[in-house]
Amino acid sequence: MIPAFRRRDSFLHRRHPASAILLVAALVAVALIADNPFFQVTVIIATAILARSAGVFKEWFSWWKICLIVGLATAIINPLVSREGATIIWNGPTLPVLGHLRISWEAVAFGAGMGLRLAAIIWVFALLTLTVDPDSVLGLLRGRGSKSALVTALTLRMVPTTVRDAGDLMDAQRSRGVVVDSGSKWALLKSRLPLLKRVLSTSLDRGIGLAEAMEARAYGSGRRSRYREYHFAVGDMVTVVVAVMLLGAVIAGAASGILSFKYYPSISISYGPGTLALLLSPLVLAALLALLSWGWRRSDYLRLRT
Amino acid sequence: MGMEKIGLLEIEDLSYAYPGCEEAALKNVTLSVRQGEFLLLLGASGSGKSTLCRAVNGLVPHFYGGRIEGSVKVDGMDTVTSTVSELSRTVGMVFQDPENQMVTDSALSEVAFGLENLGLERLQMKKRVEEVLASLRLSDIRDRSINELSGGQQQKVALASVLVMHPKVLVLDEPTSQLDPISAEDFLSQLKALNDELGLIVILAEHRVERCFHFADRVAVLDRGRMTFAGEPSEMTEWSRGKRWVPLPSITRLFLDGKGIGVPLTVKQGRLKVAEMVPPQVIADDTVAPERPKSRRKEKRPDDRPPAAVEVSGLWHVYEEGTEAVRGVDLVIERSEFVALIGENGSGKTTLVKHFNGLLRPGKGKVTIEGRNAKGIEVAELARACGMLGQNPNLQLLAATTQAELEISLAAMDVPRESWGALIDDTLEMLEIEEFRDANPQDLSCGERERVALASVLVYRPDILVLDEPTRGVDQGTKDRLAAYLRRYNSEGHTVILVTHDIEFAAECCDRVLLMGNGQVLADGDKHDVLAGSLFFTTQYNKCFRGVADGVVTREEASRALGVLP
Repeated sequence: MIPAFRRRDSFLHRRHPASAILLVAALVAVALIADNPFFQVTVIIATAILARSAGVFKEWFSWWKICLIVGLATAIINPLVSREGATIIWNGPTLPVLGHLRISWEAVAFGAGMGLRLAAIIWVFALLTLTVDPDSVLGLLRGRGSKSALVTALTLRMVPTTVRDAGDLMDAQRSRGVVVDSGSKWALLKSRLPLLKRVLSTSLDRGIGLAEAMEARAYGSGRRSRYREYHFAVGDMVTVVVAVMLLGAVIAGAASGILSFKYYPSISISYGPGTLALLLSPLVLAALLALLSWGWRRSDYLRLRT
Repeated sequence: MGMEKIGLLEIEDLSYAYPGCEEAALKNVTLSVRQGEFLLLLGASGSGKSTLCRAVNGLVPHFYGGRIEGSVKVDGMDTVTSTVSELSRTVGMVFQDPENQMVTDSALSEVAFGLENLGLERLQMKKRVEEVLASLRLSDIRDRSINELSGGQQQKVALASVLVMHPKVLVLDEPTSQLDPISAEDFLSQLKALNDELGLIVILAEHRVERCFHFADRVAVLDRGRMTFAGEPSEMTEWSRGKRWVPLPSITRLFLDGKGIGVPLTVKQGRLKVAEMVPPQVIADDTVAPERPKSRRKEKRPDDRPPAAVEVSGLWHVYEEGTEAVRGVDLVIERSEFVALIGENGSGKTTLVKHFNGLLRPGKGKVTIEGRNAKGIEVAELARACGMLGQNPNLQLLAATTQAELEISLAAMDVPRESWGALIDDTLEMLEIEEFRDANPQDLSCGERERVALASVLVYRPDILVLDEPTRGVDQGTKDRLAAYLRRYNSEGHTVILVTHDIEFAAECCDRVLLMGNGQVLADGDKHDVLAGSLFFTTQYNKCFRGVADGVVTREEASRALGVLP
């Protein structure tokens, strides 16, 4: 089960949702902009530092399975389908659909780089899930947006319930001898379709119950007010500055070419005077926020002013 | 002529039919509820309790549509001409399943949700929210995620989230059906305190009358949409005399058999009554329970005996998140035994039985089913010996008809097709559901669905039958029928294992009781020994006869002790 958000008393948890989202958006953006795989590694380490500072490292790290599966799948599939790259390491047979197998070192590296990038992005979103309250994101939006956000929040809240329903349904069927988890693909599909139908109808029942409960509590009766107040504190300003600095530095690095990393036709790395500094920038900025977080936990002065 | 006091809630000649239904769910219901009254709404499944609850807050007809006649007026507002939103300021409703009524992710946001919808100022909201959280003792869990809360806490949050809107009427539709006895008691006690202190009208629809009968100022009974009784609890006992099935606490029903007046409504009254009626000496256990078997736990198992139905040794189970759900359990259940596993939520009951058919595998220890080590045997294979019915019958049912539902099980068990007809006929007859053979199980009532789900397991006659909370949310009549089916199945030589919170049901059905707590078996033995030795996990009969006839745990034994039966 994927760990969900839990309220904690940490610098990151107490951020204004807008500043927390901006920080996460910046991390995702730099992971997408920079091709250099070492940069993806530093983004992952920076995210780990932030998770540690927020006291959610264990939960954050538990996403490793998803990261590994997605990363490995990308790393394996790319060399099989890519026809680029100058250094051929294996000339294989011709297969249906895939064609002639010709695996190059560059395609393997590109696959690994993309896998690493996906893992970095997943882990950044894990940080978002663990430290930003979905209700606070809902509270940020008003009018039409708030309805969409409510639907999203409700859907997210129902995910664990639906997963549990599906598990219970499978258990109920297995308990009377129905085989639902082995056999041929066709047999699996055949045995699981009725289960899917039942999960959907159970979700629909739950949805109707929820709609009833919402209407009984005056939802849709007019303009809503907002219970939670979100103050934009100095700590949020620092978070925003950190996020903008990181984004600016990476954009500048990418534009000047010092972060360039080309896989095809053969691997080439651009290295300039600022490359190392840029590669380390996510770590430095994450360390800065972690330091602030450390101080925030120990000093009432910082806590009250940030 | 004195002016008659008008109720805050006035229901007059109300009839209602759901869209597409010929038969009305409510028929000419008339009821007046005064401010501060605690009204208990009773009736079998499908009698119209939930519909009446929804008529009070306007969900019927606004949310459901359908045909409505007559009127419902709450604090002067007609529920047909007022919107549900307008009514929500006066009527708060708590639903059966806490999970299906939670909109947001945290307790605090959930409580504030209704006030946000009303567009209240932030300061006003804060005052109300904090007040309600404190009064329901929820302040400590305010920031916790809804998914992390127990069922009892979730239901209290649901109560807080309607209470915060300052309603004059609180309607609760079976709010404790998903809770264990201790959480249910806690929830209902708080409800009674709110009724006493704030003068709110409380309308509570419930099946488990033992839990709440003593709280009620008035009781209304519905039967197939008609109100057959409305009056004070003490009047209900007179009305009930001579009727075959009545929704009364077990201790009250016991004294209905006898003559004379002053039928007790609570355990305390029952105890006093017993002291009056029974001669002042302690009645020996073998007088009230002559059939009582000896405890089998300490006996050494002879080597020549056939393998036990279930044998568990040194079983530990730790869930992924680190919860030690079962901690070193040793257990032998012989063939043809009827065993109940009782204990509070999270005591490890369900985790333990899920090892019997391989749904869970031991972290440590060994589970043997009819002499075969369960390790490495597929669930589908173990299911041949050990059929299991889970808590939610809806999840058991997949097919479009009852007959097709039973055929799924028979096909899964590779039963020769030529014997299907006889097996299906026998099962439908045993569970009295022949009339639903061609009906879609999803269209049936809760109790009927429970029987179809049970039929889908019983049809292939597993040697061991495990039922997890089969009486959750079902009425007394359904329970009595279920008890009879299970006893019959057990008498045919099958082993029956029951996981339940319903101690009265366990006592009526089983011979042996296992009390679990903190992942361990705390007590194991004959039901009389285990239940009579427990303060809380015991029946109302035992509580009444304690000190006079300690061995009394069932209705029959209680009747015998009173000398009502020969």
